[in-house]
Amino acid sequence: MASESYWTLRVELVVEITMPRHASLFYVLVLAFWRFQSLSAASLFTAVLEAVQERARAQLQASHPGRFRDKGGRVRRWRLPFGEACIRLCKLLDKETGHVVWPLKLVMDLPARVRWCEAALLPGYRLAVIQSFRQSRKALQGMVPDGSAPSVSTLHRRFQGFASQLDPLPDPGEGDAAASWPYRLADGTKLKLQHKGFDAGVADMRLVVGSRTPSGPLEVLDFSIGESWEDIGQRVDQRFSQAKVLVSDGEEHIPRALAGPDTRHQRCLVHARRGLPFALYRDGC
Amino acid sequence: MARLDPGDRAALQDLLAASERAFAEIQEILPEDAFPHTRRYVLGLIEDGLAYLRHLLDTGEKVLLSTNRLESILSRVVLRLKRIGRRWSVTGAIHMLAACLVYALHPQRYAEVEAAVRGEHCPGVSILITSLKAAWST
Repeated sequence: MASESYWTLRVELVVEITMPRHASLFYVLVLAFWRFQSLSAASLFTAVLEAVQERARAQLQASHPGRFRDKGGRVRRWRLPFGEACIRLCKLLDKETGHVVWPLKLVMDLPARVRWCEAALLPGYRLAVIQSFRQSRKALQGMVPDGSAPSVSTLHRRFQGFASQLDPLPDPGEGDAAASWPYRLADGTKLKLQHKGFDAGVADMRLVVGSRTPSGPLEVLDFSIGESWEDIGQRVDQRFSQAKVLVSDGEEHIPRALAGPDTRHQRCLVHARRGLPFALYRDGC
Repeated sequence: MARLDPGDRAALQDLLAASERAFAEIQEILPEDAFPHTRRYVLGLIEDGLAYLRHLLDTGEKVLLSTNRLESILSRVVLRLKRIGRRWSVTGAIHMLAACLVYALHPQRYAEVEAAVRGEHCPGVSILITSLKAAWST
């Protein structure tokens, strides 16, 4: 793999293992290697970064003799999926421009202003989706030998970036979008909101799904929090053709916003049966 | 209603007419000044509650009679989002809603995003152990 686009680095590693002469040696070794895998991977990773940094610095100084002066460095720490890596980033002063140059940053993109690497948090995101950020933190804590885990707020903040990559809406290029998903269902529920830790009232969480056939797999066509059915209807109309059949729980705004002139609106019969006693109650019965 | 035969048009028409008649009778029984909400409710049911039968008569196609399938998705999302004392920022709730929906409906899309974060499509780095020897020092 030695070509111009690849570097090959040889690392020599000598490991000394002192072990007790004991019947439970197997389990002692398992635990020791579990702890060691984090140390070994992190040490090798740091050694590779230091070698790359040294090479970049040497190349820079060789190509411009006398131009760069050593200006110390700064320690950076990263929490990686296999443990913590710590490296002293070397700093050079460019005498011509007066700017500071970081040799390692010239050859690779380093994660800026984050300590926890995205890949280290990834196993926790699934549990955050299923259960809670608190449980997700506990799961991450149990995965590493030193029991370190990000705080719940770090996990929550970093999850926002991950979740922004998840789009439940269908790909516009997927099939014939104009004629797709003519069988639609719409519903909503209330959700309590907060703003900067203070109560921000209640908003409507709304969801529109559709299928290609009456009982086909469902696809999310729109979802929102705090938006009116009219706004949702406009977005759905822009994106998809008119619905053939719309099923809803009987909320008056839904057919008004989502049903076109040729759409057949079916009221959910479960809700219809449940709603009749309430209508009678409103009339004083 | 789900067991109705779409080919038996006469039976379907009879059922539709009988249902409409029944709703109209209920409406007539209820005086407008005493039962304004109930009357409006029943009137709505004549239009929207029988759409299934009309669609079946026109197209021979059986559509859904309830929102149960959507409620099933919503219940999975609500299980995560709604709990006593739990409040969300709008952005946080939107992101969690999107994540829950993708996780519930498109697990393969969720796995693809995870794979992208893990860098599975990045140019490969090969790490080989070229020599491994063990020797006793004591």
